Amino acid sequence: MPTIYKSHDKVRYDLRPCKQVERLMLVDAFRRLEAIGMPIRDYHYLGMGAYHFYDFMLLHRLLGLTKMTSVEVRTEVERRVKFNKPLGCIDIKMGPIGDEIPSLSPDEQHIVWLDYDGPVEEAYLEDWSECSARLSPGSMVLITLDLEFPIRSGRANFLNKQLGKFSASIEVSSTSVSPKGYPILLGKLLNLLAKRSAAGRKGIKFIPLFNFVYRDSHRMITAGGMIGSDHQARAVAASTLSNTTYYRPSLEIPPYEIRVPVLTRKERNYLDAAMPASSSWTPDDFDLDPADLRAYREIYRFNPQFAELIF
Amino acid sequence: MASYAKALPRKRFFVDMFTRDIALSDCVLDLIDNSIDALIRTQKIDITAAVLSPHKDKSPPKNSVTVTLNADRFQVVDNCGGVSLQKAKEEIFNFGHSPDGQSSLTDRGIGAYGIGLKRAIFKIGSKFEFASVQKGIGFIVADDLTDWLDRGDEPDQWRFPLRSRLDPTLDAKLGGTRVSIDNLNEHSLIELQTNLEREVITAISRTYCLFLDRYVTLSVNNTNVKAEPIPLGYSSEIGLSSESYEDDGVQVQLVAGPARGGDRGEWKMERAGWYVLCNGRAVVTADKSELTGWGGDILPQFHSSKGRGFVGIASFTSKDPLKLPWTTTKRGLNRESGVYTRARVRMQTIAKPVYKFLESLYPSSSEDSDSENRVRSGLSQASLGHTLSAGTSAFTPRKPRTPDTEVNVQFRLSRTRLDAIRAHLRQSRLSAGEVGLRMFEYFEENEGLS
Repeated sequence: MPTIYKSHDKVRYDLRPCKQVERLMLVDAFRRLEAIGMPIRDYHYLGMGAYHFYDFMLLHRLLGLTKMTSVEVRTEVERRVKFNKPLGCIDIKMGPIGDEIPSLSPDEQHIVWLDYDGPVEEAYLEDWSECSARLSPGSMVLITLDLEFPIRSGRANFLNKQLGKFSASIEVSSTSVSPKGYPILLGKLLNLLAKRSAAGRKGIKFIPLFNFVYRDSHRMITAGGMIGSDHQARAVAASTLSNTTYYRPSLEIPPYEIRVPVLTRKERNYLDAAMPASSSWTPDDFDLDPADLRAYREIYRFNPQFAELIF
Repeated sequence: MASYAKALPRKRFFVDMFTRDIALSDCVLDLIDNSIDALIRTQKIDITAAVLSPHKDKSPPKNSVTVTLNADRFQVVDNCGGVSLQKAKEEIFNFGHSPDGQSSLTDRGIGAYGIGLKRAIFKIGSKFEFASVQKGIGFIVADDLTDWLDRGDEPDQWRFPLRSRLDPTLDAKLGGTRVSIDNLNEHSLIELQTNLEREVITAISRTYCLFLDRYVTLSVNNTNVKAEPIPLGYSSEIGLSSESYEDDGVQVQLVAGPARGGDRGEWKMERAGWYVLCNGRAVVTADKSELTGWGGDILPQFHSSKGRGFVGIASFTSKDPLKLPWTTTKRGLNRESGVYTRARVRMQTIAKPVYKFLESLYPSSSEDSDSENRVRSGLSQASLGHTLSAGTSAFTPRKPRTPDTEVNVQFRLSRTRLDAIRAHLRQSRLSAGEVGLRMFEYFEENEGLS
């Protein structure tokens, strides 16, 4: 994987507010699925913790997961990764995450988060397809990809090269790779591949759940869903998850844009005191861009609070 | 009064047209299929058990099929149980099966469509004899196709003469069948002179590899045909990737692993790939194309230099041969079959870890490697009983060694382009490799990577 895309050496992971909102929304979603009887805490989580293991800590503390595997593709940082492992119940595996997928037990349910740093590529889509073909019913799979193109012109060409054999599966045109069109294009492709791979399984299909787009440093997309039966699909549609603003029953409709407005601590406390607020409410004591206010109303419950510790 | 357009069958159509889609050697195999089918029926062979367990009993089987191919006659004779008089009168010579006939297809047999015999006769020659004996009752059906055509297309002329006869070439005790075709067509004579015998022998050794020497002996022009076993290798250190499941009345058994080496120990490209069996009959051998999932959504394309150690077996068995995913020539797979479409995805998931393991044996672009030799020498011929009876097994070999920290970067570039870069750098004597490295460094600096 080209080093240019390794974000944890360049971007302070703990200071990515949008990513943190995304993680907390996912935890919120998993809680709502537990409420309809899915035993999420017994699931096995497979992710890419890097040095910070943020998602691992959240899933363990907030949901109680104890079966977790973190994969690191750069074999040269093995010692550093193992040094930073924060919990005893995390198993570290070195190598590409694609190598771990075949050994996932069919007797367990999994949450697999293919949290790639870079733009889409053929091998990532093979991993995504394999998850849809392999994971046991009730399992979830998520994929995160960089939406930015490293070169300003020739986006369509670049994308076709990245997609390799998968470029035959979708229409790549100059409109579909525009900033607005590209997340929809990827959503369509991911949906198609998940459907095709699940078609090999009787009574099991891919059930879309999430499609987040956000920007901390790079503009990113996280799409995902469940592998399950029609019965499970109906249960999800009837759960409180379907009432949330971030739920996406299809990957082909516009994604949920996570927007975290920049506010001072004083402004946040003021706004929180009025939450939850109706859509017509505005602060009296200062002016706020209506788009920021709208965004705040949606994400305030998931908003991370950063502080400096002196010790 | 209603009026109608005629929709009558014409004999000439069958003689000329439906012979076009099949090769001559495959027609010979169709005749052998009928013998094997009789064998399955009489001996009540369950081929799923055969796929699973190793062949222990070394005594030669009592059943045989004798094939003769010469310029006067093509002939297949067997002692595999024969055919009943009733069936010959009512079923065998129809084109296709009646509903009753369909339900009387051999359980787990390889006879399926009801056209193999007729198509073979029409393709090969013009005079035929079909003699059989079962439970002491013998008969013979014989005709000349030119006469048959001359007798016209009226419904009552769609028949061949049949009479009682105990054919002396047949084993009255075991029961058996003889199909002989004379007055060979020009095309049969040509193929006979080119490569037909060899083609048929090779095809038999592959197609019936599970049956040969275990249930039946087969000879072609007095040459005994030995089974060419599917070269799947096994070692306890590496294991096999496998899965078994049932789908719509079909038992599907998938297994993949490293190949057993050839005579000199090497992995051979032409034996690598997927082998697909339907009720024990090999339908596709050593396939490396997208038919068996290569280059699909999950699996990369098959690269000869790295994949040549790959062998996979996909066995489909069913009581009802019509549920199996083969085409009417039984040499291809029916892509529209739901069973096969679903299996093809699973074949990719089974193949992937094995293929990736094989790729990892070649860290640089070199074709041979120490790792490959070490892995290969530790393999013995897999007996599938180990693996398929276990249900699903995960393929978890120990990784051969830590990957190289450096790789070779190689690509072809036109001289003009290379010279233009040398001129631009004002260094006409730089080697191609040095130019390449400069370009790399230039990119790193300008993109902020170094």
